[in-house]
Amino acid sequence: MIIGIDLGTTFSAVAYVDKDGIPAIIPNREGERTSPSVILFEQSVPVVGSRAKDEALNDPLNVVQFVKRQIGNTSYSFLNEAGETYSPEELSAIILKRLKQDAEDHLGFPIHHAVITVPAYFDDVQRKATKDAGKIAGLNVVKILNEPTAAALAYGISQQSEDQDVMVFDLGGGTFDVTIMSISNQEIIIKATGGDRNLGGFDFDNKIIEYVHNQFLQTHQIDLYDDPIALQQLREMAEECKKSLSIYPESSFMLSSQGKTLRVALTRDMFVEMIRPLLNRTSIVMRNVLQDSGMEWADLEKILLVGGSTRIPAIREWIQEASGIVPSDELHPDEVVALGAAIQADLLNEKQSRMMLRPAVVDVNSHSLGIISLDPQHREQNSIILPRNTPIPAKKSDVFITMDDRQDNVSIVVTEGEDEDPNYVRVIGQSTIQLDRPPKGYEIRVTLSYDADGIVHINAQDERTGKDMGEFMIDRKSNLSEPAIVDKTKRFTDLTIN
Amino acid sequence: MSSTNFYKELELDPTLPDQELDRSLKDVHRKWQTRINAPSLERRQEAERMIQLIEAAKPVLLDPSKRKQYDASMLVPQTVAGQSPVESSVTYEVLSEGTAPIAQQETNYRTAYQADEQDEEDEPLTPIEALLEQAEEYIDNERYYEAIKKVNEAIAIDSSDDNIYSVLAWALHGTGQTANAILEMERAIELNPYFSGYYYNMALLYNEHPILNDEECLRSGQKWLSEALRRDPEDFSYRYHLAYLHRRNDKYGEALSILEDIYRNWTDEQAEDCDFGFIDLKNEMALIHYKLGQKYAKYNKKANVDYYIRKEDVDQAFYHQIQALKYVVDSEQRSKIDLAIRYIEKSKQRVFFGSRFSSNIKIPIFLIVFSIIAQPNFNNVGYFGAAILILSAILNYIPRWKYDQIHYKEPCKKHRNCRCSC
Repeated sequence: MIIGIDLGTTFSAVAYVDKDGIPAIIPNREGERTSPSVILFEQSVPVVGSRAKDEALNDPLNVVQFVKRQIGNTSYSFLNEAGETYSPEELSAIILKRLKQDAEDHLGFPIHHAVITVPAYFDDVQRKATKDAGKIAGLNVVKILNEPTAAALAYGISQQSEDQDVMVFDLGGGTFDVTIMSISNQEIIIKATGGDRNLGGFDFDNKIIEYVHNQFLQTHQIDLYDDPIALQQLREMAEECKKSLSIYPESSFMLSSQGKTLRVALTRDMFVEMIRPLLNRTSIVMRNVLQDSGMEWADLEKILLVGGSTRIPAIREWIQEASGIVPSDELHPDEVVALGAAIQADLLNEKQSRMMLRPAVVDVNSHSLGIISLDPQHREQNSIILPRNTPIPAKKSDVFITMDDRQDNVSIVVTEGEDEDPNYVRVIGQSTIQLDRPPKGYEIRVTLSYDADGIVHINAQDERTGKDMGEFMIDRKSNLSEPAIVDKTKRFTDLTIN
Repeated sequence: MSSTNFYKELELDPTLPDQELDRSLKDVHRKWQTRINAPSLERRQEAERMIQLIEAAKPVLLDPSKRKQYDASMLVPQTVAGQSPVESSVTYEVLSEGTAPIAQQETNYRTAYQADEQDEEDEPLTPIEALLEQAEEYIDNERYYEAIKKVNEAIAIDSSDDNIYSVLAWALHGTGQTANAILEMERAIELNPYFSGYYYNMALLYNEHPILNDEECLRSGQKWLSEALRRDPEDFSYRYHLAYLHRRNDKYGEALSILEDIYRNWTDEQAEDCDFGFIDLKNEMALIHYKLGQKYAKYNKKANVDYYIRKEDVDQAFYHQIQALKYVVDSEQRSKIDLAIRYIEKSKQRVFFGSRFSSNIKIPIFLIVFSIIAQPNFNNVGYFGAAILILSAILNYIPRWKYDQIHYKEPCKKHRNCRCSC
C-alpha cells in the first residue's frame, strides 16, 4: 500500500485508495481530516497537530510552524530547549512520521511507501529536501508530485473523456501555484506552470497582524513584535478574523499586551485593501502562466480552486475580474491534493491498482535548468539548457569546450532560474568531470536531465569518440549528504511523536 | 579570517568562557528562530540574516582553538609576545578601521615620572618625557594610534625607560589590545620593580580585561593590587580600588570599613592625588549600603516582586537604605534608593501574621478556654477537647511564612517560558 501525503505549510493530510478504488482521507488520531503542520517540543519529545498548535499560544518559543517555508534553506535549523538542533528536513520528517503513524493506526498495517506532494513552483533543492524528509521519516518516497497535478488527477477521474483546458489556482497556507493543463479521464497534460514560493494564508494573516501592530503602537506605544506570546495570540486571532471575514462582512477581536487592550474591528473592504498588493502578485503569475501556455483566457474552460486561501471571496472576485471566468469551487480545497496523491500512489502500484481509470500524467519543470559557463570574455554566465515548462522526464545535451591546455577536470555548476546573471539564479550544486588532460578545445557533451520527480541528473560524453563517461553526482550544497540522511534516519527510527 | 565581529552583531559578551558562550549563543539562536516567521518582511529578513550569522559564528566560536584565533584576529592583529625588553624595537601598527577600539572609561593611571615632576618642576623636560606627555595627551583624547606612534618615537631614543612601557600599555589598552598592554606593563615592572603605581596599573588593566571572565579579572586584579598596597599601604586610590574589588566579591562589610576610613580621613589636599573624587566615594558608599539593604529583601523572580520575611529584616534594610540616602549623590541611584525605602515603609506598616509572637498570645487563651471546659468534671469530652486545643496550639508554633508581595512594576505576563523583558 502506498499512501498519498499532502505536506502543507499550515495543514497536512493523508489519503489512500480503498478496496473499491475510491480515494479517501485518513483521519488523524484526533479524528480530524487534516492535521496542523505544527510541532511542539516538550523538552525533546515532539508533539504534532492541533495540540501543538494550541500550545503555540502559551509556549511560542518551543513551537515550530511554517517549516515548509524553510525547506531547502541550509542556514535554518531549530534548536529546542534540550539543545538538539533540527534541520528543516528533520522537522518535516517529524510531521511525516506522525502522518504515517496515524495512517498505520487507521489502516491497521505498517506503511512503507508514500507519494508526497510539493508546490509546482518548488525547485530541485526543495524537492530533494522533501524527498530526504520522507526518507528520514522512514518512508520510501516513490514520487514527488506537484500539488496542482495531484488536484487535476482527483478532478480528472470524475470527468468525461473529452479534453478540457483548465487552470488550477492553488493558494495554500504558504505557497502559490498556477498551472494550466489539459484534462480528460485518459490523460493529464500540463501546459505551463508558475507560482510564488512564499505567498499564502500566512501572508494574508501578516497583513492583519501588521495593521494591528501599527494600531497598537499608535494607541499604546507598545511594540507587539517584541512580545512573543501576544504576537502568537495575534497570529491566531488574525487567522480567525480572516476566516470569518470570508463569511461575514465584518469581524472584530480584542488583544492585550502588557496590560493594555485594543479592540480591533475589521471590515471585508479594509481587509481587501490590505491584501491588494498580494492579489496583484497573483495576477502577475496568472498572466505569465497564460502567456507561457500560449493560450487566451477564452480558451480556458474552468478555473479550479485549490487550497484554503481560495475561500477568501476577494480572491474569487479578483480571478473573475482578471479572467472573466467564474472560478469553480467543486473541489474540496483542503483535501483534494492528498486525494490526488493517493490516486497517483495507486497508479504507481501497477500490480495491485484498484483504479478503474488510469490517466497518463505529463508534468513539466517549473524552473529553467542551466549551467554556469564562461562567455568569450571569460565572464561567468548562466546558460539555460532546459527551459521551463518542458515536459518531464526530459533531457538535453550541449557541447562544452575546454578553455586551457591539459585541463584535468571540468566543473559543472547546475542552476535553476531564468536569469543570465549567475547571481540571480539558484545554484543547485556542482559536479566535477575528471579529464585525461586533453589539449585545449576538447569537446564534452554534457546531458542534463529531469526525472519524473523534477530532480536533476548529469551525464557526460566524450564528443569526439562518443565514449560515455557515466552519471556524475551533483554535490548539492543546499541538501543533506547521503551519509547524513542515513544517520538522521537511524536517529528517527525510535522517535515517538505525540 | 572573516571580518564580521560576531560578538557585536549577535550581542554576545566576548569575555564569556567557552561553555557559557555556547549557552548564550543557543539563547540567541532560539530567540531568532521564532522571529523567522515574523509578520513583517523586514523583520523576517533581519531574522534570516541573524540566523545565517549564527550559523557562521557557531563553528568559529564553539571551537576553543578557533575561537582563540578569532579573538586574536578581532582584538590583537599583531602579536609581539616573546621579545625581550632590551632589544625592543616594537612597532605597533594601527589596527584596521573595521575593528572598533574597546572604548574605556577614562582611567587615571600612574607613571613614575608624575611623582618626579613635582620635585623637579623647574627642570626642562627630557625629549622622552616630552614625547610621553604628548602620548598621554593623545590617550586622554582617545587618539590611541597617534599615542602609539609617539611612544614608538620614544622607544627609538631610549628603550630602557620604564615609563615608556607603562604609557604604551595604556595606549594599547585603549585600542582593545589588553593582552599586549599587560605584557608591556610587565616590562615596565621588570625595569622598575619599586614603583607601586605599575602594580596598581596592572590591577586596573585586569579590571577592564575584555577577554577574561569576571572571576578571573577579579582574582588577577586583587593579586596585583595587593602588590601595590604592600609597597604603599596608605594610598587612597589603592585602598579605594581594593574596596571596589571587595564589593565585586560581595564582601560588603570589608569594603564599607575601608571606605568609611577614607571618608573620615578625607582632606582636599589628598584629593589632588586621588584617582577618584569625593563624590565617587560617596556614591560608592551609598551603593554598598543599598546592596546591603537589598540583601534582606527576598526577590521572587517569577512574580518580579521583592518581599520581606521577618520584621528584623525590614528594620535592617531600612537602616541601610537610610544610610545610603545619606551618602548618595547620583540621581539615578537616589531614585532607586527612594523606591526601596518607599517599599520598606509600606512593609513596616504591615503586621507580620505568621510570626511566633502572635501564636504566643493564643496559648494562654487556649489554656483559659480549656480550664473552663475541663473544670466542672473531668470527663472524656474534656480530655478530647484539651488534646485538640493543645495540638492546635503546637501547630501554631511552627513558623509560617507569610510575606507581603510588593510589585516593583507591572507584573510580567506570567508564563513558564516568558522571556520577554519585564
